[in-house]
Amino acid sequence: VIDMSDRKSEASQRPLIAAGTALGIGMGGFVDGILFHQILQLHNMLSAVRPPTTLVDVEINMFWDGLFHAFTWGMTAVGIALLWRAARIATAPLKTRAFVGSLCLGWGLFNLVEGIIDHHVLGIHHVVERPDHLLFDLAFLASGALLIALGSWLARSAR
Amino acid sequence: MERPRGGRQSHVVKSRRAISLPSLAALTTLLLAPGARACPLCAAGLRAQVHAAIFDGSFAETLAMTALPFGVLAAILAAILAGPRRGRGRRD
Repeated sequence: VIDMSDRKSEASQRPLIAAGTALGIGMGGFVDGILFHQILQLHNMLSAVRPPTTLVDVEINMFWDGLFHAFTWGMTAVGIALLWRAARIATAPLKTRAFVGSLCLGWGLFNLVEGIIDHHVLGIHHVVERPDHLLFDLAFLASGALLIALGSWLARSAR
Repeated sequence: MERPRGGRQSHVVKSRRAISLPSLAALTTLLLAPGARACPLCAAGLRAQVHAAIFDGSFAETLAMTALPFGVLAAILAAILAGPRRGRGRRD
């Protein structure tokens, strides 16, 4: 016998999960941009290829940091729109556990995808710009994997 | 003796406030102007140098690199929204 109730529950929670994931991606991006780029100043968008050692290079990195924030803002705006849509769908249950889980999932996805692409594939910056950056880059990926696991578990347990 | 009415007094205070706010704003602007003129980014050549370095031949490539993670994340999000297509449901 096909367990239709499980599939129905999964489908009905999809709008909320998608909204939470988009918002989680946005929040993760803002943590990176605000905490790592600006407050702690561990790296900038192009700090591995154009180290901010002169005023011109600081300005250039600031420009690309701004674009990174603009994309992050866009993802957050998409998340808000999806959340609004989920709230208006009568059959979509607004479960806190599923929402928190999807926020973690989005944040983890951000760390994993951004970490793999920017830190390892393109190498345009690293978590910290020092010779032993690999350890910190791997820790960043691990944090992403952990958040994805936690988020998936929370979202599944909400069904 | 009759005390001046509160309404008249508050009207005068309001008028004074209305005059003083724009004056204060103008004064602040004038005071800050030398500081703004001393802005290192507005100094000769630097702005043009930064602009040229950003919008050089590698602009499109750098833009693509900055946008790439978000493109991948948007694709993952679309997949979540559309839902995984499972061939078969769970069987007891």
